[in-house]
Amino acid sequence: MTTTEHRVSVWPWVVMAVAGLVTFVAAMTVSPDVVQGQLSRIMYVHVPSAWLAYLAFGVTMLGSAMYLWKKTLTWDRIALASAEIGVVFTGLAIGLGMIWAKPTWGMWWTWDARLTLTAIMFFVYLGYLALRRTTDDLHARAKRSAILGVLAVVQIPLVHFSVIWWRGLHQAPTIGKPEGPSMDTSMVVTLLIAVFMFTTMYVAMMFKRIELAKLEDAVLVAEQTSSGPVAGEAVSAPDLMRGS
Amino acid sequence: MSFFHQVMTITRRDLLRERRSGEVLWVTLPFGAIALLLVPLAIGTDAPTLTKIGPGMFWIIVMLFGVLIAIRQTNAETTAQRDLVALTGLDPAAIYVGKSLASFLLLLVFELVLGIVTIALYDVAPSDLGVLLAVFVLAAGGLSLLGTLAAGIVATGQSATALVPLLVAPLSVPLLLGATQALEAIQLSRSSLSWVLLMTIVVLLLAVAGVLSARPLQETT
Amino acid sequence: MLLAAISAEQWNWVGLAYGVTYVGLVAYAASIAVRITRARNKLGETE
Repeated sequence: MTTTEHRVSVWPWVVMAVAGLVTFVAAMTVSPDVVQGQLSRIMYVHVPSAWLAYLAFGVTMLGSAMYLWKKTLTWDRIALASAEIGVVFTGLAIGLGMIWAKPTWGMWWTWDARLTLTAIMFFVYLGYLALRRTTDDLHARAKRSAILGVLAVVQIPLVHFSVIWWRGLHQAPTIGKPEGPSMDTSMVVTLLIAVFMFTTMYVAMMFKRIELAKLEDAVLVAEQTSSGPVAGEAVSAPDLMRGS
Repeated sequence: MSFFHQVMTITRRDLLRERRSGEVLWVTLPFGAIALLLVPLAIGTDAPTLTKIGPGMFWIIVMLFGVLIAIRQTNAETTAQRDLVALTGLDPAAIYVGKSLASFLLLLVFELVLGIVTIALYDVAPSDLGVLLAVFVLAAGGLSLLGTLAAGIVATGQSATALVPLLVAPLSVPLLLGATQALEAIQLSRSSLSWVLLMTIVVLLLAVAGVLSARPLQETT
Repeated sequence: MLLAAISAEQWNWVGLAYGVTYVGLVAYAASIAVRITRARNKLGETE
């Protein structure tokens, strides 16, 4: 058995399973929408996913800023964990949006502001994750990612603004707004339950993903400081060309 | 050495590098031009379509390929060279501004030449030259600031070929939209002022972000 | 009849949506678990 201090924590998985189950039951038992029929049930996974996409993004940005301030790797791990989980939920939100749109509007994609923005955000996430793969130096990686995170925070509102403005000028074909007439109470309640459950899932996932990040950082450190040949055999001219 | 002098030194160095290697002139520019050529081959050559998509295609090529210009210098540097420059004690912010300035000038040339190509191949007629110039300047400025900053963030000794463009692309959307919408507004006899203002804000924010990140990035291994 | 047909087709989409969601989430959770185990093993080796 390893000498690491943490025991296997299972509760996050349990929480996730319960949250998923509750969402499923709630979404399947609520009455269908008058206009959209059964398709309205897709909202109960699509909307929470979209909400989490933005929440996770915010947490990544916060983690980045905190790392630049406090310089502790914990914040970097929070940022990373949220970024990876964020990618999953952003992808899910986009995919579910497409699955909902096809039968509702007849097409997989529309260029409305929200969808376009979410797609752009997806790529910002991917870029962040791609950047992290370029170096194994924990603090260098953390600093670079954090600066990118903060740069994104600065730029995203402008992206947001410009896209919404752009769509305002080019009215998307109004085949019918997704929400239609105001949702009736049971739907709103179910939606809130779903959002709450998904958020709980996010928190649980964060616990596990941060645990993983800590472990992987430890592996990196162990690999970098692993005992090589004793000095003498290993003495050689420094390689100035090696990155990091 | 004053800040201004430091900036000029770096800019001059970068431009000299470009004069020697000629990468922008002989590689990136032709690459952009042939991209503009390929599009009608793929989409169709009927005049109305081309006139319609011409301006958009121009800006897409500028944004996607132009970023290569903004990052070429940082990509060409090795870690050792970068460390050496850092040791000279030059203000990292000055280095950043200097690099961005050099890229900016090269991007202006890039836009100009490709603009001519676009007018020829797509039969577009630019109208308000004042706004056109403003948009050219702002787009080139924003892209060079963003590209130089992104290249500084990535800054690996290895060439992460498409990583910097990947980082730049989503964040360049306000510049892309600003440029296309400003010119479209002119065509439709509307005011392009708000879009030009948006681009200006983007450029200013990027400049601040870049200058502030310069030292932290230089201090990172 | 028509309503029943529409409803059936809609359930297909709903099924797809929930399938994608739950399979996706479980797969991601599993990937975290697998990676944790792998990291633990690696640490077990080097220490």
